[in-house]
Amino acid sequence: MKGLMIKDMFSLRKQMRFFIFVVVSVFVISIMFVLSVKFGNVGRFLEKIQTDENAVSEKITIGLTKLVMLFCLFIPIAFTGNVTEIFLDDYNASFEKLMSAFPISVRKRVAARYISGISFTLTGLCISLILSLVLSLLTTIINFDEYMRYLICFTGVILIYLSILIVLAYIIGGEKTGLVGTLPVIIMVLTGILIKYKTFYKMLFLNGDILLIFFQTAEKIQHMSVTIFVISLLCLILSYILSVFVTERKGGTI
Amino acid sequence: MDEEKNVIELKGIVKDYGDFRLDKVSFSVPQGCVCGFIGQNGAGKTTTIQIMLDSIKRDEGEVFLFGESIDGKSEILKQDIGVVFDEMGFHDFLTGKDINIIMKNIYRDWDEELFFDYMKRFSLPIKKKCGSFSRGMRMKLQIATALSHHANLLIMDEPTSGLDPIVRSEMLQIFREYVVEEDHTILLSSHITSDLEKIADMVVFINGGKILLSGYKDEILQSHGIVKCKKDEVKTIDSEYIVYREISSFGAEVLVTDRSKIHKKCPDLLVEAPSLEDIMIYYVKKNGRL
Repeated sequence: MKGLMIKDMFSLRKQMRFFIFVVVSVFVISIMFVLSVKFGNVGRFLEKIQTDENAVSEKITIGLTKLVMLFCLFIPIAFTGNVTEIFLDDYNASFEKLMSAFPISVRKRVAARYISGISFTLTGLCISLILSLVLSLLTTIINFDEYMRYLICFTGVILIYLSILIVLAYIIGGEKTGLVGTLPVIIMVLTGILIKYKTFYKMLFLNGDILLIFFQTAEKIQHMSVTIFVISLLCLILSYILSVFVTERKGGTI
Repeated sequence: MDEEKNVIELKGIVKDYGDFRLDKVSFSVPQGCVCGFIGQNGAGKTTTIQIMLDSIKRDEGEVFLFGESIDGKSEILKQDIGVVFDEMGFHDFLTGKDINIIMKNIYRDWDEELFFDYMKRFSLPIKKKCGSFSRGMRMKLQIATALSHHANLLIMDEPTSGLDPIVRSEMLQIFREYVVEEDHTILLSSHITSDLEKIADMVVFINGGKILLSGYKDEILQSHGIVKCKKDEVKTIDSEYIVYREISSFGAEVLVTDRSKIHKKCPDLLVEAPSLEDIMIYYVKKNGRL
């Protein structure tokens, strides 16, 4: 099992240039945003809407300044997305066939993929955390405690994404990277709409202030971080059981 | 006298895919033996190997490796098996060094030193990505990997297909060395019968999911014969010995199962020694799949 995880790490190494590009880009954009809030156009825009003296503007102002935290969360997304690359690499190399000769059970094989996926996500989250720590030293926009709450919440969301992604890769085939990477997003958005259909209805059809509703929702979500994280763990367990079942069944087809 | 120990034993294996069926496949391979697993493409060789490795579930039958049933034990038993497939299986971005790191975390008895010795012997660069390797180099890399955990059984699925004669000859030499040392066993699946003629001790013919013939190669080659005669002379051959007869306007060619008996009964007939390829072709023709 450890060998398979190491093999997945080599895949991560292959993508190193892409990851460096993402981290540097996010860092530069975040710095630019911070500078713009202090001295640039964003700052001037914020000053302008604050003079409107209404509660809505105030909430938008707070929300906008928090956008920098969202930038940092692009990093774990990039790392988690790499799981589709591992499936594709395995398919291109016919590694599944070779793996069938290894003294490793199907359960362990599937578990290795999940552990690799979680490790990728955690690596991305750690880098994101370091970056936000650096940014919080440069500006007062980022409140580190608040960021941690968002981070836990986001970890939960991304683990739910990962659990859907892996099981789909086993069901429809890891070589269909586009579908495997996109379907979980569609599933999650649709689920979100079904759960919060009133909010979405307000946003889309009652001319609600989209930006305001978005920031309000983000504000609420950060207080549900633990619940989302627990749900994500349950999703991972369920996804693992389903993946093992599918892989064992697929062993019997040509 | 020591009883012959079977390293591979398949009993009545059935696997039904609807459009293809492995039909009660049974054969055994004794320890220290090189067994050629012969059959045309799509005959069921790879499916049989995958059932042997427990990567495909069988519908019926039993598989024994090293005298033990694979059910619930395949993980442990596979520690002792080296497998070479027709495709390399390793990712193009991996180097020999990377493969060593991966494998030492997979196989309990992985011998790092032996692996690098093989790499050196096969002139394989350790730091070069294997995506840039030629087909021959890729095969050698697979063999180096399969031999570096002190496996007692080597299962190879079409390892020599698509290789030039020199590389094939090199590989056969490696297999010979492998079986000379200790009681190592090889199951070599191939449709290149000339390779098997050079190295195999026994052969198993499979066609359309059924075993047509199995036994020691020399016995098969010695017993079978191709009778070349006129059309009307075919009637003189006892039908119980005939595998398949091919009659053309120029005469007839008949594959018989007992060359010596035919020779005794019909001394005027020309009986030639067949090659494994001849035997395979005639048996396949008999079963109407050519």
